[in-house]
Amino acid sequence: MPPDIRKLFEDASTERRREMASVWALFDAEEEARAEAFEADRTWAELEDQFGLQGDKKAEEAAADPEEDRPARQQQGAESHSRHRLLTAGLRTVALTAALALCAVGAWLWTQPVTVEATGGNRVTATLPDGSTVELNGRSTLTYRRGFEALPFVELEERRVRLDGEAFFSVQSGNRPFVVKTSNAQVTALGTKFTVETFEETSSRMTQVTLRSGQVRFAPADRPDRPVTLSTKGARSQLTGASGAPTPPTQIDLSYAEAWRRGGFAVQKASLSVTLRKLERQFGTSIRLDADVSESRPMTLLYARDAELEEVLTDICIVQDLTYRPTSQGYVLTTP
Amino acid sequence: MSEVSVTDSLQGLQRRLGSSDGEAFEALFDRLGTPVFRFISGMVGDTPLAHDLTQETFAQLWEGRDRIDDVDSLQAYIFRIARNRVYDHRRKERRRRSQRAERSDELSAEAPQRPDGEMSARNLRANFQEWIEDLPERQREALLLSREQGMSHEEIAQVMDVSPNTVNNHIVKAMSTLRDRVNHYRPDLL
Repeated sequence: MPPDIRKLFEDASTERRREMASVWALFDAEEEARAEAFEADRTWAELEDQFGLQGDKKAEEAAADPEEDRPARQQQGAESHSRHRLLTAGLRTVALTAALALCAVGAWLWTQPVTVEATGGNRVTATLPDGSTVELNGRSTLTYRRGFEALPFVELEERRVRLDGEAFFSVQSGNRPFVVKTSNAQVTALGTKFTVETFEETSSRMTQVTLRSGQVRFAPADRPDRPVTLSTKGARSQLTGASGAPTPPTQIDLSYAEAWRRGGFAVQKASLSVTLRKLERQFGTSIRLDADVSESRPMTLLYARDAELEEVLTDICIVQDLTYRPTSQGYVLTTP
Repeated sequence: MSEVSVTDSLQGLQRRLGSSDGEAFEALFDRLGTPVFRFISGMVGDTPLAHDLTQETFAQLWEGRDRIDDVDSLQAYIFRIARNRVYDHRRKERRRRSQRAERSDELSAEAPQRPDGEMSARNLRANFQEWIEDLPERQREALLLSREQGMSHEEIAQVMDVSPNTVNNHIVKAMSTLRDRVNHYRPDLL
């Protein structure tokens, strides 16, 4: 239950509060089913037809023209437009030496990558220079070259980003490939929507890709020539290490893969350690396992949205026959 | 916690929509299409109709984009459009029905009461859906909105044109009714 609703029943008995939480959870399930009936792609296609939005590229070009540049539009391309103005103004009014110094500083600044970071327990949505959007889960970092350019006005051959953590990408179609690099893999897309998730253990690095729409190529960092192609909705592949081969695609339920985007939490047939790592990431906490569960049962959990950590921990403890208690840093799970 | 960043970028999208940015419109549809559909289908309980009204909602949002800069909360604004579409449709439907009733002595389309035995045999989800539909209009509306996008009760009040306090009352009543109904049919679930 969201805090606003919880507040309404603050003064009620424990019993009644528990009942209300159950009703809320039943409502979740009903609504999830209702939302599944939504044919978003068809509805959007009809809106596109109705307003001729596919032909909108012309309007974009007009907006990119500095004279036509409306303030709201600058948001997206703020870097390049303000730089452009700075440069022309500088050449007109400032002495050449000052301009050169400015260029040197500018060039140095230019080489600094842009970093978008979501701290533990937070989700962040960012728009990239090409208009693609990325939603970062907690404890995730994305870096990329300013403007996807090697130098001012010199485009890189690829739109390249580096990801540590978990993110959902909604990539604008374009001529240049969009490449997500992780510590052990690279994912190449043109215009598509997909999730990339990485796990860094001391012994191994894992990257997992799940497709929502379009097509992506998923390859080991050391063997970019050996990709696996994902091309159906819900296709998923994993890669451990940097030189092996990604697993052949399997079909999964996207409501699990993308639950975090609505504040939910989900795992499918996941080990206890992976589940706890995901919880730590999403809730920005530390969860220690103080029990010998080398042979833990794989778990499937789905909290479609607004998951609460203690609720999830309670359920995990039931499944794994454990108990949990809060500590100064977070939580510890022990045998009862 | 997460609401903050979502709201931030909604403001960005709002600005871009104001300058006729089709991509911002698509991003908004991606973000709020499903919530709007979920709300509308909860209100009208009919999937094809909910699709039409969702499309109309976003069409109206796009058509009114040059006025969007003045909007305070984009979410409240969109759900308000959605709500108006629902009520508009109801008005037209009533008019059509009363005209039809004048022409023929058609019986009202009221469904017969279902016997309890049949009710408990059907799955819980269908029952729950029915209980939501049975809630008084305003209560159902407040409850459905309170579940969307972490909207505050102030925002819901803006959508419904009532005070935040009234919103609270509607939600408490609706939740209590649902609890009673769940309790009546499946006490084991609570």
